[in-house]
Amino acid sequence: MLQIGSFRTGGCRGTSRRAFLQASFGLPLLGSSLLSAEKTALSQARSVILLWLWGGPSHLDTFDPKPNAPATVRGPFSTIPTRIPGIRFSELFPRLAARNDRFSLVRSNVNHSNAHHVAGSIALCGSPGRGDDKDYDPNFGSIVQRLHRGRQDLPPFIAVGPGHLNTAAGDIKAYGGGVWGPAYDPFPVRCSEIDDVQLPSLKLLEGQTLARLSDRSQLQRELEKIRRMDRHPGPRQWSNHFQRAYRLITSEEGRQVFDLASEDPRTRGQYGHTQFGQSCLLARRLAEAEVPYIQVNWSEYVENIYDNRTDFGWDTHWLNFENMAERHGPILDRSLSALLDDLQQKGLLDTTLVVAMGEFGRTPTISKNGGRDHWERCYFSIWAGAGIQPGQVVGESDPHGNDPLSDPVSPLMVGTTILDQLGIHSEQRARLRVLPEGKLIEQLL
Amino acid sequence: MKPAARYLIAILVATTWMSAAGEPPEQLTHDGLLKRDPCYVPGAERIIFSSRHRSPRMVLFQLELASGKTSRVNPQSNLVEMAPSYSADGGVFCFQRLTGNDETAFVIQQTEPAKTRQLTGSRKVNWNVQVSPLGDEVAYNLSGQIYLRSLKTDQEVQLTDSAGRNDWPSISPDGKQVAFSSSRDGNYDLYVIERESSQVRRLTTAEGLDMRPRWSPDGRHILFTSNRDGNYEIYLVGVDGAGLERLTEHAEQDDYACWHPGSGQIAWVREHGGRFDLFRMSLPKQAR
Repeated sequence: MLQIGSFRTGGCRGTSRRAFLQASFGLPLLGSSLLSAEKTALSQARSVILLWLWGGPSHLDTFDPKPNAPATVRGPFSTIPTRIPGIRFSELFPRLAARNDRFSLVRSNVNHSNAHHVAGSIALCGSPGRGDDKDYDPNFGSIVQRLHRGRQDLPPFIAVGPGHLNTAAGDIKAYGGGVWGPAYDPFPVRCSEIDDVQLPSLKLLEGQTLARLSDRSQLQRELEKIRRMDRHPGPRQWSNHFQRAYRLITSEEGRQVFDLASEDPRTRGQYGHTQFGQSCLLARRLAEAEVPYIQVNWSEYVENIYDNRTDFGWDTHWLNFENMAERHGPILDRSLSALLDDLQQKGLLDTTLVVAMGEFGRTPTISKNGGRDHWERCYFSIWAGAGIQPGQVVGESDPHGNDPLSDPVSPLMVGTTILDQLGIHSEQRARLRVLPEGKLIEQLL
Repeated sequence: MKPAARYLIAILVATTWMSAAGEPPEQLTHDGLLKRDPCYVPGAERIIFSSRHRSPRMVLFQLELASGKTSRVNPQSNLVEMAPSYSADGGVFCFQRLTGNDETAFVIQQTEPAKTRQLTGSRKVNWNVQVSPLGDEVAYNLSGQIYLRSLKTDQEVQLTDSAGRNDWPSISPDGKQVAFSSSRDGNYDLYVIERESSQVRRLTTAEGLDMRPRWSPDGRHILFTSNRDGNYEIYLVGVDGAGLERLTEHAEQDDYACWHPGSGQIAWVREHGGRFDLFRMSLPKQAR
């Protein structure tokens, strides 16, 4: 009996793996007729992995330190040399410092808002909304999804993380399709530090059996029942999510991508057994399976400590230095380094574009609460892989990290560069009316 | 050789890795979940620590050292719990709790008279709380300065007022001094402040992060974490700054060291193969 709703994997927790194996047994490859090796276009990148550092990491305490600034600005961390002469990182990132000849760093990102949900939307879609935090353009991944003509058993835009992106002030609007509607939202996948991978969309199918799934008319009735019970998605979105989940369920190859238990334990260990580390590993597996756009979310909430949870986003108004030293620094250093190593060892780095960024930076001056507040005027992003010249440092900020002195990089330029590397060039973007007149970050290419 | 077999061998090597002091560390937990803040319960039958439970929460667990069993300390609570500490006689148990949006409180449990109370600070986020070995006060970090709060009068006193950051306080066994980390001279180093005279002496001067000092029960040494060798390791230094010794030498993180009540042994959180578990080891003779 196939129990679809319990689709989870886990190497250390055998019961969930059993459900996975049950799901694999004897399934007809119903989605096989949809499979295609066709690529969208000739391009440098086959996949993009966006590491979304939700909450806004401090640029001064990470990759743009200011060791000569006053104590009220520079913070308590030392700096360490990197592989690039003259470039120093915070001491919390020794692994990345030893690898920065393999990636490039932008130190001059700028955004248009210092509110998380607004800046986050802008950073993920490339342009400000048309009204009061609404009518945003689609997420870069949604554009990729719309144009995707590759394999159909895996969703083309997958968001990996602990949950939907939130702030105490509400949801982020450009999480997915934006003005195109929720049909272009990402396919959510939850990945935890204990190796479980959960596909929330499959909860729509909780309790369904293979016999029922195979009976299309019965299936339609069941799904209609579920849809009526669900107060959120409209018919189109519901249908879209279901179809993606259905294709995934019925493709053994597609399902196997999510089985982290089949990964070499040493490789899993190199990423670290944290939620973010294992999410990065899953992203590598998805890129290997040619999923074109994968967004790995560091946390569900922006807040560092919020309500009754220790989700530990990058929004460090309080405890910036404590959490940078104890958690954020070491985890990002380990996970991103492992991702770069792994992609390179598997020969995937040439075809996978890796971008790590948040929605803004943090105030150069330490606040009265002993943390750092929002700062949209200057922040960093990391770029590696397909088409990116490694070892570049783009832009320079002023002596306190307040503003770029050169080469300001807007969210529009970020999105334009990402899509261009995937082969979605200006003509296609113009036809879709997205990222109008966006310029490339030429220094990276 | 199959990957799983190679992995087991790697784990075996990691768990039997000799410490710099020459003693093989003993692995105490095996679930690999994120952990922090271990502390021995006086009597040393148990270790209390904070770990992930129903992600994304961290809550207090207790490890029975004889049986190896772990259980929740406050199984009815659904609040985040961290930073457990005990007074030397076990009469006062203190930990930190998240109580709302960016707000924290200290929970104080006393045995005589038996009572539990929750203290909130003068501002919203107080962090890295430690009860004094004498059980009469708590020390904590508030906005980059060290504060003390009497458990008898509830009076709060600011102990440091310097440039940079001051964090991770640890009160000496006689209550007369407080060790802490400070970036007043640049990066985080260890300092001790004499409470009566307010004189501050610097214990470490290395480049890098020296954090989380823990005063030994016999008052002679201070344990701490440092990345001075490029990776978080556990170190020991005399309270006069002499006799610096590295206790762990391991490719991944060693952090959150705590003292056995008898001073001759420590427990800490070791990252091994990307997992986090409690380990313990005996100290070299000269440090006992």
